[in-house]
Amino acid sequence: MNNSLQIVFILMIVANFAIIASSRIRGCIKLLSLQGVILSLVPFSHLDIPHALFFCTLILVVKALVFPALLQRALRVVRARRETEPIVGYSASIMLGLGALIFSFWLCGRMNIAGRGGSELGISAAVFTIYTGLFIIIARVKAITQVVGYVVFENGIYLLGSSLMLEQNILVELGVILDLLVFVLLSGIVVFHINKEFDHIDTNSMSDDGSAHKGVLP
Amino acid sequence: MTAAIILVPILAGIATFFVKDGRCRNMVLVATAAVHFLLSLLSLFSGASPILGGILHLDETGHLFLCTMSLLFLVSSVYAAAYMSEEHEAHKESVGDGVYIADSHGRLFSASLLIFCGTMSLVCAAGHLGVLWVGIEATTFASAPLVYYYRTRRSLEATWKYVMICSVGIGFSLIGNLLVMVSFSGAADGSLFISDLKGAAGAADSQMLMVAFVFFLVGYGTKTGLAPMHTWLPAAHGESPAFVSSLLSGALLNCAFLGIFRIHGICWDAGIGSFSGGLMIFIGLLSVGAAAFFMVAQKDYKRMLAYSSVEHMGIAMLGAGLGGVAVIAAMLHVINHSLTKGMLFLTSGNILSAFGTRRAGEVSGLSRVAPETGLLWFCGLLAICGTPPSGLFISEFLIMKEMFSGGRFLSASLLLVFLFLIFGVMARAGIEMFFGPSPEGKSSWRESKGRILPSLFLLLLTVLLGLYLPEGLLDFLRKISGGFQP
Repeated sequence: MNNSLQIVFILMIVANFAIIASSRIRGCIKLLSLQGVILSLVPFSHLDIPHALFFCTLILVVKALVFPALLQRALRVVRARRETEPIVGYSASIMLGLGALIFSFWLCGRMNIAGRGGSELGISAAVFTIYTGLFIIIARVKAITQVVGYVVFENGIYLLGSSLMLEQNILVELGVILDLLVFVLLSGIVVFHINKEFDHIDTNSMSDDGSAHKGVLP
Repeated sequence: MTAAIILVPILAGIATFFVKDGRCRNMVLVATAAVHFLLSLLSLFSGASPILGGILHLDETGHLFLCTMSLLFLVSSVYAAAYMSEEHEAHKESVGDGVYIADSHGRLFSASLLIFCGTMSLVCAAGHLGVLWVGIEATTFASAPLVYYYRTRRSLEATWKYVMICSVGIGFSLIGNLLVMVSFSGAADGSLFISDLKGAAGAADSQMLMVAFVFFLVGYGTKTGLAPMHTWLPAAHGESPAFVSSLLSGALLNCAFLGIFRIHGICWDAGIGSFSGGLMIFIGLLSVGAAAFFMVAQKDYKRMLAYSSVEHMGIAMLGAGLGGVAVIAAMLHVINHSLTKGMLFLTSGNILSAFGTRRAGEVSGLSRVAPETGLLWFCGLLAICGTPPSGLFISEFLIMKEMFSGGRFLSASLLLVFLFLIFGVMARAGIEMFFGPSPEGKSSWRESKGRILPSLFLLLLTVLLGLYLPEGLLDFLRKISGGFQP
């Protein structure tokens, strides 16, 4: 059991690197879906079987099916293919990711979390996943990629909670998933509007329309 | 009762989405706001017992924030009704403006406004850290369509920034929740009920709780608009319509503030109050300083007000961090800021309608173009700077006094310098916009009652609170600060 769990954590780390390195948005969304599948195995590590099955199904449906489907749909409409001119280049991104991974392991060693009953590899993987999410939000300019980054960030938080062996309150957990769902829906709608207004979804050049005070009522 | 306070606006919001007639929607909006306010008052005076096993529990602090929010919501919705009907008329004449408010859009807007009120009530009533989190996150989603009301490029950018930055911030406070569970894993068995946590605070792992507090401060602090996480705030407040800005500033920021305040209470009971308080004082002072810095160069009067919200949230945070009597002052400050800033934003909507620009430099001669609006604007700016007899004077004075008597001379003098700078900026804007020469050929703007009286009411209330503090309110505030005795 413990060994297979370690494999899950390592797969999470690998998926993060793949997301950092992928330049095609479609591939990014596919990897996000894959990460959802990997994450859905995590509840079995610390919950009894009925609860674990419930959360596993929930994560599979929402994170591996619904989110990617919504994002793919948004992508079809806005016809963005790849992340052009990311703020941080891909090889630099991977190097930074390596650094962050080492930092996560160092941090978890320092914090002595394993002594509290958590899994050290799991927590390192979680911190690295949180880093990956935040990095994608900061270093990529396309709105859809930023949404992917946010979902990765939330995946990391979920992994952190599980690795700390915390009891899950079903109500709160449902609330978190619901909030995330609304976030993806809402940001999807905003992406549509950004595309309609600007003919692109580069969040960096949204204010460059040269009309500082245009459109203010009346 | 507590359930009704949360559910009434949400259900009314869902119902308004299916109402086609604009006038009818406005009536539902105002009526629901009135019912909500009455229910809040009723709950305040009769006292509410915890429901759902303590998940929802309106205590003194919750009631204080709820009633302030509800009052501001009522006043803003009266203004909103007047604004939307006038704007609807205006757009019948100039449909080609590109910002025509479509009917389906208006439906979404009224619905979001009411649901926004419901989610904020949920935050005030939450007696469980997880539910508090869900509530604060839900306020972001409910208010995002409100920021995008004008459907311009800039409001779109503001909405994206708002949703993205606040969601990441809220994600950080989710990590904070997890760490609280870890630090209480031995003491409260992973429970997140605030009453359980306060009861078991003595046995908590204080080091872990410190880390958790930092995450909460950054997470909810983003939503409170504390520097340096405030970057979404000027854009969102500037681009949204007046009555939404007034709600964002006067009610939404308070909700996030309440989140930090609750965690601070737990930290205080766990004996690390000096750590959490110290951080709050630091970040509060930083926010006031940053606000002063950015306000000097600000040309847009709505953004200027937005930065002023950063400043006042900073002052309230500072007061809450000091503990003891300063907590009373901080609570007073929160109430007074809500009333005054709500009033100023509503007035700024009138100025925007009259002049059609948000640049302070292009607005002058308010005393002739729109005398009542101008007078309200001028008095409001003085009030927000803490000029007596504004209620903000008392709270700022009390906080300052506590700082000096606590021996914090350096931070107190810094605060004074920042406040002085902000006063200068505000006073200049007020004087130039009010007394300056009116532009040639500028006809006077028709000021309707629905757009003057709400602001006037709020201004009078602030002045009243500055001149006379009811003993009942003081007792109430003493009970809240009772949890923060040094």
